[in-house]
Order: sequence, then C-alpha cells, then structure tokens
Amino acid sequence: MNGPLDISVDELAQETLRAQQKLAAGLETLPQVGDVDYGATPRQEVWRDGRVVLYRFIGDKAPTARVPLLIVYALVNRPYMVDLQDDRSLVKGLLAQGEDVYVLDWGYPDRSDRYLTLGDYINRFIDGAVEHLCRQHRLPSINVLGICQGGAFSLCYSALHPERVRNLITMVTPVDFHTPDNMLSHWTREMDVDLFVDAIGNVPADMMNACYLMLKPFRLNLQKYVGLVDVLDDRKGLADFLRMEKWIFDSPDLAGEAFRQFIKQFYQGNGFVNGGIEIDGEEVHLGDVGMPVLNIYAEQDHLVPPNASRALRDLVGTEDYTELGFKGGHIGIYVSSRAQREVPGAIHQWLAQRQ
Amino acid sequence: MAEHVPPGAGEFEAMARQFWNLWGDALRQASGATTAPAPGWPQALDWWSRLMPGGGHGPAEDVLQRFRQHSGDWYGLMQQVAARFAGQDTAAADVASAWKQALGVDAGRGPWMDFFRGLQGGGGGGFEQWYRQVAPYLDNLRRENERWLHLPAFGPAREHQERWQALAQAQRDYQQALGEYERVMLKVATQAFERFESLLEARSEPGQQITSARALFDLWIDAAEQAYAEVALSPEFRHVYGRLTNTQMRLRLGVQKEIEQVCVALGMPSRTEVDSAHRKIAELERQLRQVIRNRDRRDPDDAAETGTPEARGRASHGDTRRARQTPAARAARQAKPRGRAKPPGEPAPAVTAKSASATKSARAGKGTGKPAKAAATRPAARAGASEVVSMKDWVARYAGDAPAGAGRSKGKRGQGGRK
Repeated sequence: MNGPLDISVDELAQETLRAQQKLAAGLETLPQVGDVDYGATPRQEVWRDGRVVLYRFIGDKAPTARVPLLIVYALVNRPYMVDLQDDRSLVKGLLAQGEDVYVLDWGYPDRSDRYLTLGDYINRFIDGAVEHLCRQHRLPSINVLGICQGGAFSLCYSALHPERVRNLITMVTPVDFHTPDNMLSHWTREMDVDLFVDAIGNVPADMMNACYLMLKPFRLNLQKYVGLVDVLDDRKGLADFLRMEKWIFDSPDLAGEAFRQFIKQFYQGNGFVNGGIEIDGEEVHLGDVGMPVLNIYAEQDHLVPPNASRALRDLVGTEDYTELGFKGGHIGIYVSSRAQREVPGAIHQWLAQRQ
Repeated sequence: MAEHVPPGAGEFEAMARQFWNLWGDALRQASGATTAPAPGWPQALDWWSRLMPGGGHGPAEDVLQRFRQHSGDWYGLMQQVAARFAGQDTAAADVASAWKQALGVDAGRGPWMDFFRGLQGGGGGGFEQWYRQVAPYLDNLRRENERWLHLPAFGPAREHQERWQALAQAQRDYQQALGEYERVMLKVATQAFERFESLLEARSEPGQQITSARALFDLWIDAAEQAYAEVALSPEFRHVYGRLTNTQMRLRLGVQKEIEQVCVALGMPSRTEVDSAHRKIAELERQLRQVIRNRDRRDPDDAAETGTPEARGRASHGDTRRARQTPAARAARQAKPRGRAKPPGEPAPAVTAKSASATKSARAGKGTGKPAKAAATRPAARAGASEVVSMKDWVARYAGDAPAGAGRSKGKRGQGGRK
C-alpha cells in the first residue's frame, strides 16, 4: 500500500477487539485493585516540629552504617516516592545495603503556614531534624540526601551549616535554573511573583500539578491514559499505574512566602550561579559546601534538565565531587527497575568510601 | 478466564458483540468510501463505564475520569481518522488534514481548544470555574458603569470609583491576555500538524508504515510535543504566559478587594485580617525560637533539663553552631573560595563519561578526602578526588563491593563487566 498508512480493515478491527478485551478484563481487575497503598517500609516517627515529621525507616536488619542518612525531599510532592512500593523503593535498597535511613516529611501546609519562609524550612525544620539526629547518634554531623527542590534546600543547608553535614548527596537537583531547556524556569521569568502570592496566598496543589502537566501536555494528559488500556488486564501493572497517579496528584499546597522566595531567588535570580540567595539574612555560597558531594542527575529529566544539575560541579567548594548520570527520567530514577539495581548501591558505595 | 466474574461482564460481552458488529459494518462500508461513521471509542468507554461496579467510584475514580475524558475524545477521533483511510492508498497531507479537521482547529473550537482551555483553567487553580462565577458580576459592573468608569475620579466616592475602574481594567486585560494565549496555542496547532505531516511522510517507505490506529495516535503525540516544546520555550510564549498569569492575579486581587469591602460593611472578618493574624503568629514563633536558642546558648545544661529537643542536643554534644557563629569562625568560613562560577555566557563543557574522567583527573590530586583502603586499585574518585561517570559504569566498577542481593546485575557484572 502506498503512503504512510498500511492499516487494513481487518487489522483495525483486530485492534479494536483487543482493546475491548482489555476493557472487559478491566471490569474485573479494577475492583480487585481496590485502594492502592504506598510506603513499603515500616517507619517510626522520631522527631516533630509542627506538621513537619522526621521518620526513621526500619529495615529487616539493623543498619551497619554508623552515620545516618537524612532524605530531604521537595515541597511539591509527597516524599513516599522514595518508598513507593516493595519492588520500587530507594529506601528499601538503601536499608538492604546497611544504611540507616531517615526522611523528613513536610506534611500538608495550610493557610496558617502561608508565612513560612525558606529560612523556616532550612534553618528551622532541616536544622532541627539534623540536630536531633546528631544528638541521637552522638555525632557532630550526618549524611544528607537532597532530592529535587530538597536538593536545593540541602545545598543551602550545607553551605550555611557545613559542620553538620558529613557527606552530601544531591539527586535530580536544579542548580543552574537558567539552562535554555528549563521550561519551568522559562515560564516564571516574566511572572510577577509578588502579585501572584499576594493574590492567592499559598499556592494550590492543583495549580502546581497543572503546571507540571503543561510541561508535556499531550503525553501526560492524553497518551498516558490511552496507555492505561494496555494494563487493564494486568492487576499488578494496574496497581502500579494507580499508585503512581496517586503520588503525582497527592501534592501539598505550597507555603506562599517560601514559594515567593524560591521563585525569586532560584528560578528568576538563578542565585546559585549569580549569587543573591539569602536565607534568614545570610547569603548562600556554594563555595562553602566543602564536604564530599555526590551529584546524581537523570539523563532524560524533563523537569530538571541534566545541565541544570551538572552545573554544581563548577560551583561547589569541595574537591571531592562525584557526578553520576542515571539513564532515565525524573521519576524513573526512583521507581524504574534500573534504578533499583543501580541507585542504592551507587549511593552506598560512595558513602562507604567516605565514612 | 477469570475465577471471579464481575457483575455486568456478560452485559459487556453483549455490548461488545454489538459494538463489534457495528464496527464490522462500518469498516466494510469504509472500503473505498471517503468517510465511515464507525462507532467510536467513546461509545465503548461509555458502555464500559456504565458496567464498572460502583460506576468507577473509589480510589481509581479520578484516574478513570481522566481516562474516559482524554482517551475517549482524542483516541476515539484518531480511530475514526484511521478507519477513514483503512485499506486505501493515502498521502501524509490527507491524513494530517483529516486529523486537523477532526480536532476543529480551523474553526477555533473543538477538542484542541477545549484541551488547552482546560489545562489553562487547571493552571489557574480552578480559576476558570471561579471566573465563570464572578464574570456576570464583572460584566454587569462594566456595562452599567461603562461611561463614568473612564472619567476622572473625584468627590466622596473617589476611592471606590478608582477601585472599580481598576477592576474593570483588570478584566479587560485578562480577556486580552487570554486571547493572546489562545492565539499562541493555535500556533502550536499549526506547527504540530506540519510536524505530523512531516513525520508521516518519513514513514511512507515500506516497512516504515503505520499499521494501527494506536501507532498513528502515538506519532501524533510525538509531533504535538515537539511543536509545543518549541513554542513553549520561545520568548513569545514566556511573555504571553507571564502576562496571562499576571493579569489573572490582578483580576483576582480586584475581586478580593470588592469582597473585602462587603465583609467590612457587614462586620465580618476579611482575608486581610486572617493573613495579618497568621503573619503575626509566624513572627512570634520565630522570635520565641530565637529566645529559646539564645537562652540555650547561655546555659546549655539548664536547657537540657527544660527539655527542648534542640537544647538537649547541644547540651549533650556541645554547641558547634555557637562556635561557628563567633565572628572569627564566620570570617574564616566566608574567606573560603566562593566556588568557581563560570563567567556569564560561557558555555558548559560537554562532558562524557570518558572525557570527564580525563578532565577530572587533573583535579584528583587536590582531594582532601580520606584515602580509601583500595585506593591503589580503584579509579580516582575513590580517594576523594572529583569524578564524572555514568551510574551504569559506577555500578559495574563497584559491583564486587556490593553485599549479597544488592542488585540483580551484580553477578553478571562481577564476572564480566567489572572495569
């Protein structure tokens, strides 16, 4: 047949039939899936400040690592992405390697949190959790693993409190916010963020989600859901899909003042590169990050382009800098099967060499 | 096939048979015809949704809603387009044109614009719904006061008049910005269809041809994403998006001010008052924390007894922060190099695992990290120098160090992949 299409009537009919069979199977599998749960690993609350909670993960065996590892996640999504399910868990992998893993859960800010600043997040919550861990483990410093925006926070914290961070790991962390392929940053450049926060206060989760969906609107709003048909007859695949959807749209609102500062200083001002980041009146210089740094970026990251992460290499003060490129995307770095094979082991090995 | 047959499964089969027969008829008619009114994917999804136990309620409801809405509309239309050309020779331009027509792009309405309006509405945090609610009020205000809204304000109602003038202007600005945004989205459409046609042409060789409606749909998604990314990263989009956001926020603020006026008149608390209270609470919390910190620094032992978590930590391990925050310590810290930032505009060096390792080896000697046990047999990073590698190589390199069961690839790499 000539032209780009070679679709016969029979083939089209067969395709339709296959889709119908999937739909029919979905009538059975969907009710069976029920409510998808998340969080594969038992955890225990060990510290709290307001609605911010520090959890310790409990592995099958006691940790062998002497220095605890604190995971600092982004504000824009829930941190259980690092422990989504039994076979997709960065936490589980780290525990299996002997690490002692903690995560800081920011909770769901409400309107009374509107005036929380970046200083509150970094100098109050992160510092409070780190202090607690130092005290509990009788150590002067701990290991910190910052993810995405949490990585940016961790860099600020490490620059301001270097004596408290023994080793710093950043994952899919934006550092240079003005790389030409950074769509989010591009969109914020002409946004009047003062007007924005004055008008809406806390930034609603729905608004943030819609913004992320706009990064790849056709793939994320159309193709993904057409693809759902493929897994309707696969109970596990369906549960995985629904669990991921739950995580994607389970987003907290963002505290207005912290959002204002983050957009101004990071997205618009590109403060890590250009200077001008101030946390509680103290300027942040990445040159002050003198502890060993492991920077892990995702090679197909559409949210934090690789060059945005790799910029850290030329800015950070440490001479002990390692950079690892993961073959995958912003989410795949936690949940793909490749991630389970590679990421926990890479982190553990790097830390083990620096204990 | 299944142990538990859900209620409605038999009905679905009956419906599927009916659907199947309709498809067969439609496709038989389609051979040689220009159009074929085949029953669409949306109908199948409607049947399916009706038969879903509980109507698809529960945890999966949101997902199913998106599935029905987006998958039904767009994939259904693409299936219609595929059916129209099934079994026929066709040109890329014809397929792209049929798809464009199905999405109603030329008419400026239909799925394409609905899609982007919906996204824009979501992006405004439900702004579209909110705007629909306040639009009659705003329209009425503008209609009734059109003439005097443009007059200079004076007299006892001057402030009110100015406020209303600003609000009316904000609505006009928003409408204009929305129009600009939609114009840019139509530009995306134009480029997306051009790209689609180009991708279709590239698939015209035997062996490269599209053989299913789904593959055709996926090709369209690729084309649309490419076109969208190009526009979304353009200065024009940045300007239009910024203006849309800013005008929308100005309009929100204007309406909020009006509502506050009403609240004040009725003696009800306003948002400004609530925000003010929250701001004071946040400030008080910070001041209280600072007082506690200062007190703890003065008397860590006493602080440990009073039981604040922070104080206990410092009392038991010494206040490293205090030492750091002495003027000398601060000066020493700030005297360290402020990074090695590139001059603005200097392009980042292209880094591959191989070349980066070579580049970094020059810095390896400057490392201050502790020497590792196996440094002599390991590459540079082991001893605390800087290194850039792919994670795959890294894992392969240290596969031998990983504990049992650490990863599936361990055994294989341990035998043959280790570098």
